[in-house]
Amino acid sequence: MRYVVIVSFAACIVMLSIAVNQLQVKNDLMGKVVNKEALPAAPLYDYDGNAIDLKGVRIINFFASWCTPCAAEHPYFMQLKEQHNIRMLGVAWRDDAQKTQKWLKRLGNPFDAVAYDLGGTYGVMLGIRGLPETFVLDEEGRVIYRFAGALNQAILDEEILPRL
Amino acid sequence: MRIFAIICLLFAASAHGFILDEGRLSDAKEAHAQRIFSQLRCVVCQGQSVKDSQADLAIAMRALVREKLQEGKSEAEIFGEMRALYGPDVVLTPDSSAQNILLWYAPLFFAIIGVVVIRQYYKKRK
Repeated sequence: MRYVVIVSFAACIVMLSIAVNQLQVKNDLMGKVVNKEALPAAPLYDYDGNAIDLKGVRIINFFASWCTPCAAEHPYFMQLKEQHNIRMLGVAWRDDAQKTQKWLKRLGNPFDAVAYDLGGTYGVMLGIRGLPETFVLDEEGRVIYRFAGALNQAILDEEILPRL
Repeated sequence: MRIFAIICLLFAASAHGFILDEGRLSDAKEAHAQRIFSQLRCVVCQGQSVKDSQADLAIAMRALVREKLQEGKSEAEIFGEMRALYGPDVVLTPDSSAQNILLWYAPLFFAIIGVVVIRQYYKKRK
């Protein structure tokens, strides 16, 4: 009888740990250290339709002119551009290219190149769920950190800058 | 007649809300794509499949699935890639991983334990 109770208790613990583990996976998306994942092989194109060279890119930011949190985090990218010599790529995700250009003209363009992921497939290949989302790459162009949501000073100082 | 015209105008005004996907495939492939969409969960929606959702992410996922089908990828390969990107929950039909098997058979396991406990209890009372 005692063994039955012990086995049931152990089974409950196992089930709970599975549930907690699954919740943890979802929460990790907010700020996640990635184990050097390669970028998708698909090409990215600029406004004129030229393929973008991703060599030396250390930050990729997915944004859109219709995304309010993207405007909120934009000053941090302007700050990064002014204070650090980092090659940054902006990816306009599912946005009207002309609206993107107007938006960048209004708020300033901190990116060395802007890609237009009009259909959104490149973003899906990186597993994005919404906007904005920022990826930090190592010197070999592999993803080492990703952050979903609007950047803030703490994330920039504690998570992103030390990885660059 | 005037009311009918106003109603028609209202419908016309809201027509932009019904977005048709770009890049639809030929009939047979599109039917296959639609079956895959119905098996994928829209990960940013409440209980909707990728097929039923008009969320930006769902539209982008549909576009990617169509691209993969055009490349000649199989259904299993597409589900595998989606699981790698969005976790095992993205496919509405759960796979038979050890975790899922444990979850499916757990109620049976607990029912058996319950029967054993009740039998032991009545044996002791006798």
